[in-house]
Amino acid sequence: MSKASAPGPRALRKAAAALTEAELKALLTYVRTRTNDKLLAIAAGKPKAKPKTKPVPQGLTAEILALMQPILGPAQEKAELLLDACGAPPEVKAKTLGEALRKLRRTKSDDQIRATAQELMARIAKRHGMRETVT
Amino acid sequence: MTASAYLAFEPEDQALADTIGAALVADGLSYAVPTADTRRLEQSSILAAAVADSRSLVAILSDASGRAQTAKRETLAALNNGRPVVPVLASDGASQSWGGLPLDLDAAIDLRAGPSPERLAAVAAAVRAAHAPGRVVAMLNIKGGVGKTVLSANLFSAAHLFDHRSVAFIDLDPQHNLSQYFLPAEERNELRAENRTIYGVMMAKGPNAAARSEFLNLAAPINRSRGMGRGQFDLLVGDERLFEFTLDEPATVDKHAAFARFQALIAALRARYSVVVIDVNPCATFLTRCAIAAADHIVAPVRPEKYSLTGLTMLEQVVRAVRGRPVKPSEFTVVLNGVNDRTRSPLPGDVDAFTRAEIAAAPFFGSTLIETAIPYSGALRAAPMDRFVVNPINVTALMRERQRDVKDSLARAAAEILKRAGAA
Repeated sequence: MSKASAPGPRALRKAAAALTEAELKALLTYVRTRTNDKLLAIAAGKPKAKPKTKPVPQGLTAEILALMQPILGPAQEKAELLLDACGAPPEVKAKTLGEALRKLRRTKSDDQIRATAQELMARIAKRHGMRETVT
Repeated sequence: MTASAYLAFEPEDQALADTIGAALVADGLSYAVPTADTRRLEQSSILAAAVADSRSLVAILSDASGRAQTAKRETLAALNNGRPVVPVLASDGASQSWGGLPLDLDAAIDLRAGPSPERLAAVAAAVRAAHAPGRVVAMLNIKGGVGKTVLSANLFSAAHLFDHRSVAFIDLDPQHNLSQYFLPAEERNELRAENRTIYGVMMAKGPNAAARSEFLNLAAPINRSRGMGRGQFDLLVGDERLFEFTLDEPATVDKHAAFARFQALIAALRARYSVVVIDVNPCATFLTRCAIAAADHIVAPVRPEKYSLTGLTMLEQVVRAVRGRPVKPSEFTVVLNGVNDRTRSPLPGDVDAFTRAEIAAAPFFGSTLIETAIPYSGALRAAPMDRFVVNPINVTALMRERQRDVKDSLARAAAEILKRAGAA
């Protein structure tokens, strides 16, 4: 049976209502034994779409993400901090660290970006730590 | 109808008062004058209410008003009710005899040579300048631990982020928790070293005193997102040395001068920001008086617990005492804070409903409780933090909380408060 000519679930239910108990049993047995039939697929409905999974950051991206994780704030602000620290012109914008790294890699090596990010975090740790102490 | 200015003068200065009044009317302003009733000493609360009904006060400083008491009482009532005072100097010796009041006599308009059209225009301009649209809100409950500090930070962050309000916070609590909430210790210490804390405002003399001309530049920006600068979301940092102003016998501090300087700060901030928020310590001290006197509106957070209610009752008494007149429910907003807090009560729904019912049934505060309650949220706790904060606004629940209902409640409550406070 082609897909176009397969009866829909509503048509099947209508057909089943007109059958005797014996006829219905025979039909169900027929459906169970013919597992590849397109009729079954139509009756079962569309399969659930798999949830999209974000790609796990790798390499330098993962490293910079982990390094900048202690900063409290949205990804865009972290990306801006990194761009500023690397001396990117103000018109260069990024919404995520990944995007910032892609843009920075056009002009800088991974080692340069890594070193700048480490310096930036050292400065931030010294000045912006929210830990309170007792004197 | 609310008058633009109340003219405070003694009967001997009636002619000058009439001239000033005519100049105000010619400039499109209105004025009110004392009546026989308000001049009677035993009617001080009527006098205070009449003064508070005007938007500013013009005090005629003359020999007659220096000797008598009525104009001084009217001026004090204005100072205690957040009404800007425009001093007008009418005779040579007046400034000495008025020295007992916390007035900014350096800014007095000099009419000693007679009321020339230029000088009268200066009076009208000063009255007009006193009508800045910014609203001053004090976060206050005599009971501590009700969430004043964290709630003020989050409510007015919501007003800034969702309603695009320009907000200035003043941390007037010696414990300076609001400053701790937003800024790391390193930055607070830097600001303190530069005399850019509220202590510099309150100190009139000495190496820690900030120049009056610098008052608008003392606040630190606390929304440092790109495109944001000073004047949008700022904090005048607190300072633990403020405790000197809470002691009985200040050896080193001049409370009169501090009061006048605080009023000058408020006038400057009111002209720049749409909302000025004062976070005050939870008791009744000189600092509380400064905040109450400056505030257009008082927001009292209440926890769903019985002790909060006592703090609320005391609040009305303290505000009435400072303002020297009966206060109106429309001058307050009560916010139920931390509802559904299962960590505090095994029966949260009952406690919340009980507290709401108690306040709703109260004769004075019944109409002040807003519908929106702030749900309990981990992001609204001032928990110790081992993170780095480059942009201070990121510490607020608006930026950290994932639960939509908490953000929505803050935004709704902020809008309700600003509406009650008369913010345009």
